[in-house]
Amino acid sequence: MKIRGILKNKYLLTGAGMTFIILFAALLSVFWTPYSTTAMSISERFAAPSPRHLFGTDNFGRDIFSRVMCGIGSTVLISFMIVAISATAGILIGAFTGYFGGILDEIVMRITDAINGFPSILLALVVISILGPGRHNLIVSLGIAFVPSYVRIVRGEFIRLRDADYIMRAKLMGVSKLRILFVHILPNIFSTFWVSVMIGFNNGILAESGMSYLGIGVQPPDATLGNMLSDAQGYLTRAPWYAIAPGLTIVWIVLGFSIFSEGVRREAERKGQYDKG
Amino acid sequence: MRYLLKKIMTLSVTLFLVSVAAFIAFQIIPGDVVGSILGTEATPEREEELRHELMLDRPPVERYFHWLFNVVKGNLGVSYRYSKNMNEMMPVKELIGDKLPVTLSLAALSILFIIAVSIPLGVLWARSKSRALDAALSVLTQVSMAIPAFFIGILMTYLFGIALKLFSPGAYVSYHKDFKGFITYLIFPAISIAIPKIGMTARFLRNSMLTEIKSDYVRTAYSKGCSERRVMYGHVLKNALMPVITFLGMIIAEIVAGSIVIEQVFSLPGIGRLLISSISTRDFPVVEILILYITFVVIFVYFTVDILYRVIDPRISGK
Repeated sequence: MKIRGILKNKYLLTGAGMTFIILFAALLSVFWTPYSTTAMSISERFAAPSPRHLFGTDNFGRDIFSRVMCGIGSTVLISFMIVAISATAGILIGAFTGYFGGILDEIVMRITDAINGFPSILLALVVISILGPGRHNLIVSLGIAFVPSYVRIVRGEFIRLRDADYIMRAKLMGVSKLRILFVHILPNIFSTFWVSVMIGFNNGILAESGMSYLGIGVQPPDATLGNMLSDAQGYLTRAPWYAIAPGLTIVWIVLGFSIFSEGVRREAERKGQYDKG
Repeated sequence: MRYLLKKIMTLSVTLFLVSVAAFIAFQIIPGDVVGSILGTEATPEREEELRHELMLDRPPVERYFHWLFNVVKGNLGVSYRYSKNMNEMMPVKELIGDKLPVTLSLAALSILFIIAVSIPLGVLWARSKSRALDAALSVLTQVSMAIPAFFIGILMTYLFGIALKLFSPGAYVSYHKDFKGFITYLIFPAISIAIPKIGMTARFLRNSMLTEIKSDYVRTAYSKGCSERRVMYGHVLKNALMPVITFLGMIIAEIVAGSIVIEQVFSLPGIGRLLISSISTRDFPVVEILILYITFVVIFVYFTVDILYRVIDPRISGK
C-alpha cells in the first residue's frame, strides 16, 4: 500500500532516478573513470563526441566524460559540505536565539537580517578575498554565506514551539534546557528544515559552479563542473561540446534534486505530516 | 513618518556596520601595500613617505574614521593596484566611474525583461485551463530555474554569437560613443540573467493568483456581475501582485550578484569584473568601496520595496 503510493508519486520517482545516476557517477569516479582525467593526448585534441569519447575531448585531448564524472564528485561533495557546515551552524544559532530570546537574539537577528539581504555569492566573494581562492576556502566561505538562511527558519520554528503545551510540561518535569532544545523541539522542526536543506543543496551546487567558473573556487587541474565551463568558453567555436557537457550536467543535478525534493514535499503532504508540525 | 525615520535609521546603522566589518576584515589581511605600489627598488625614505601619505602609519581607528569621512565627502581613496607610483595615484572613483553605468544598465534591463515576461506568463498560467499548457509551463519553469545564468550566457554566446552571428562575443561598445549599440550588447547578457528569474517569478505569481482566486471577494465580485476579465485583472491580479513585489525586491539583490558573473561571461567592463579582478589582486580600497556600494544598492532596494508596499496596500501601516 505504502510502496504503491510512493510509486505513484512521479516527482519522487523521476527525481530519485536522476539523483541516483549522479551519485552513482560520483561514487564510480572515485574508483574508475573510462580514461585518466589528466592524461593528455595531442593527437586527439577537440575530438567530437563519439562512442570512443562519449562527450568528446578538450583542448589537451583529455576525455571530457571522465572529467565530468570527477567534476560531479567534487561539486556534489563540496555542496554537501557547504550544507553540512551552514545547516549545523544554523541549527545551533537558531535554536539558542529562538528559544532563549533576549538581547543576544536581537543582535544575532540584526546581523542575519543584514547578511540575508546580501547576495550569498557576494558574501562568499568577500570571504574568499580575505582567505584567498581555493577549494577549502570556497567551502568555508559558502558555508558561512548560507548560515543566515537556516538561522532564520530554525529560529522561527523554535519560537513557534517554545510555548507549546508539551514543552511547558517538559519544563515542569524538570527536563534540562539542552534536552528540550535538541530532543523535544528539534525533531519536530525536521520537516520544515528538510525543505530548506534541499534548497540549500541546490544553491550550493549553483554557487560552487559559479565561483569556480569565476576562477576563485576550485583551481585547475582539479576538475569541477564550474572550472571546466570556464576553460571551455575559450574554445566555444572549436569545441562547443566542451562547454555543453559540464553545463548540462549542472542542470541535470539541480533539476533532479529539485524534482526529488518536490516529490518528498508532496509525499509528506500526502501523509499529512505538515499539519502535525 | 516616524516609521520612515526609523527605517532610515536602521538603513544607516546597517551601512555603518558593513563599512566597519569590511574595514576590519581588510586590516587583518597580511600584505605590504607600499611595496606593491613602489616596487622592490624603492628607497626606505620613499616607502616611509608613501606609508605616511596613505596613512598606514596611523592607528586603525583613526584611519577608519578618516576613510569614512572621505567616503562621505565623495573622496573614495586610491587603488593599490592601478597606482603606479606616488605621482600617478589612481583614484577609486575614476576606476568605478565609467563601470557603474554598465552594471546598472545591465541590472535595469534584466529587471525590465523579468517583469515584462513573467507577469503576463504568470497570469496566462493561472488562467489557463489547459492541462497541456500547465504541464509545459511547469516543466519549462522548473528547467529554467535549474540552469545557472552563466551557462545560459555561454549557450547564448554560442547560439547567437558564434552560430547566428547576431553579435560578436567579447566585443563591447562604450555608452559614450553609441548608446544604441551599447544596449544591443547588453540584451543577451540581460536575457541570461533574466531567464532563471522569469521562471521563479512566473511560478510565484501563478501560485499567488491561485490562492487569491479561492478567496471570498472573488465570489462576491462574480455575484455582483463582474466579468471574468474584470475579476481577474481588477481584483485578483491586484492582490496577487503584492507578494510578487516583495519577491522582486528580493531578487534584485540576486540580479546585482548575477550581473557580476554574467559580466565575466560576456566580458562587459562593469563593476563585477572590477570586483573579481580586485579580489584576485588584493586591491582592497576598491573592494571595500564596491562592497559598500553594493550593500547600499541592496539595502536601498529593500527600503524602496518596503515603502512601496505601504503606499500600495494601506492595510499595512506603521506600528
